Amino acid sequence: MTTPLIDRYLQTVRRSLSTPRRDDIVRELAEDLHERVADREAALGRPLTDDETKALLEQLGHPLALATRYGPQRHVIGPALFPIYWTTLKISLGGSALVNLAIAIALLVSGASPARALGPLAAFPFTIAIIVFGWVTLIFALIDLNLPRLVSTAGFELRGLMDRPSTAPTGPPRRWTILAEIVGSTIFLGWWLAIPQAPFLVFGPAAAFLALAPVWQQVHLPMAALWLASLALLWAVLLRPDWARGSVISRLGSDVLGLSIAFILLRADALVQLAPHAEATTGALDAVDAINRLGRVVLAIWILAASWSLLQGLYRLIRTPSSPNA
Amino acid sequence: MKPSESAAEDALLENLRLELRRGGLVLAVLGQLRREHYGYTLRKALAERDLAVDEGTLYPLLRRLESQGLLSSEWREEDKRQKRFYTLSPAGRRVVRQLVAEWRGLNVAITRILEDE
Repeated sequence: MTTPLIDRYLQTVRRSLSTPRRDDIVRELAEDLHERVADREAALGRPLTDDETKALLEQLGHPLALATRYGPQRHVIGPALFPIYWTTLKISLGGSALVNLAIAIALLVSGASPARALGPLAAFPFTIAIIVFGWVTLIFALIDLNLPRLVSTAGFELRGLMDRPSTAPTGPPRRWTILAEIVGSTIFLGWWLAIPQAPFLVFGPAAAFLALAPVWQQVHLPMAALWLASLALLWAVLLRPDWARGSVISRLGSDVLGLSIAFILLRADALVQLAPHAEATTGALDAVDAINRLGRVVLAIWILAASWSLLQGLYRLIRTPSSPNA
Repeated sequence: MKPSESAAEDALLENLRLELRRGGLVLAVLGQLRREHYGYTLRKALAERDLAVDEGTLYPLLRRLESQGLLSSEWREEDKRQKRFYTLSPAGRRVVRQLVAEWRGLNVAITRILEDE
C-alpha cells in the first residue's frame, strides 16, 4: 500500500529525475517502500502512523539528493552539495536573464531597433550566462573541496518537504540556508567589485552605448565594505550555529545597507547614462530615459519590500534570546 | 585536542571510511547477486551478513552496475506483486571472479601488514 506521504515523496523524486527511465526507477522504489511498510506493520501488528512513515522516508534521504544519485557521477561538485548548487545556478541564471530581458524590453519600448534591443539578449548565453555559471561553479567547487564537515552535518527535514508550517520558524536558520547566502553574497561581491572595470557585467553587449551614472561611484566602495562585513557575519553564524541573534543582526544589516543605498540611488538624477563614446541619437537617449524610469519603479518597489523585511527583522531581534539558554 | 581539530579529524575519518567502504560495497553487491535477488531481499541478505546498505545507495548502485553491463534485470511477478529481479550478467560473472581474487590478495597483504605492528 502507499500513503499520501509516500506518494508525494515518490512524485518529488520522479520530478527530480532527468533520466527517461524515471517511471521504472520510481516503480522500484515504490515496491521497496511497500515491502518495508508491510514488514514494519507486521512486526508492530498495526498500521504505521504518519510520523513512523516520515521516519522511514527520511532514511531514504532528500528526494532531490536521491534522484541525483541516479545521475552520472560528478567530480567537480559532489552529490551532497549538488542539489543546492543546481538550485543556486538556476536562480542566478534566471535572475540574470530577467535583467537582460528587462533591458531589451525597455529598449524596444523606447523605440530602439529590434537588432539593437534584442542583440544583447541573443548574446546572453555566450556572455553573462557563462560568467555566472563559472562563478557559481567555482565557489561551490571550493566549498565542496574544503568544507566537507559543513556538508556532512547539514541534513534535511522531511517535515519541511511534506508540511506547510502554520507559523514562520523562529529558531536559528539551518546551515544550508546560510551556506546559500554566503555563496550568493560572495558572487554578488565579486560581481560588484568588477563592475567599474567591466560595465559589460551589468549591461552585457549594451555596454557599447550604456554606462552607469556618477551616483554609482558614490555608493560603490561603501557598499562593497558593508557587504564584506555582512559576509563576515554570515561566516560567524555558520561556524556558531547556536548564535541565533547573529543571523538576525546579519539580515538587519543587509536590509539597512540595501535601504540606504536604494534611497541614495532614488534621489539621484539618473541611474544610467549614454556611454562616453556613444552616439547621442534620439533612440539611444529615449532608451536611457526608459531604463532610468524603469529603474526608479523597481527601486521604489524594492524599498517597500526591504522596509517590510526590516520591520520583521526588528521584531525577531526583540524576540530572539541572546543565547540558546537565555 | 581542540574541538575544531577533533571535528576535522572526524570529517577526515568519515571520508576515508566511505572511500574504503565504497569499493567493498560494489564487490559485496556483485558477490551477493551470484544468486538472483530483487532490491529488498538483496538489502536484507546483505544486512544479515552485517553489511547494512541504505536504499538511497543501493538502488542507484544497481542501476549503475546494470548500465555498465555487469548486471541484468527483469520485472517479474512474485507473491502477486511485480518486482525487479537482478542477477549477474556473463560479463559480471567474469569481473566478479577477478575482483574476488584481487580482494583476497589485498586482504592477505593488509592483514600481514597490520599484524607486523
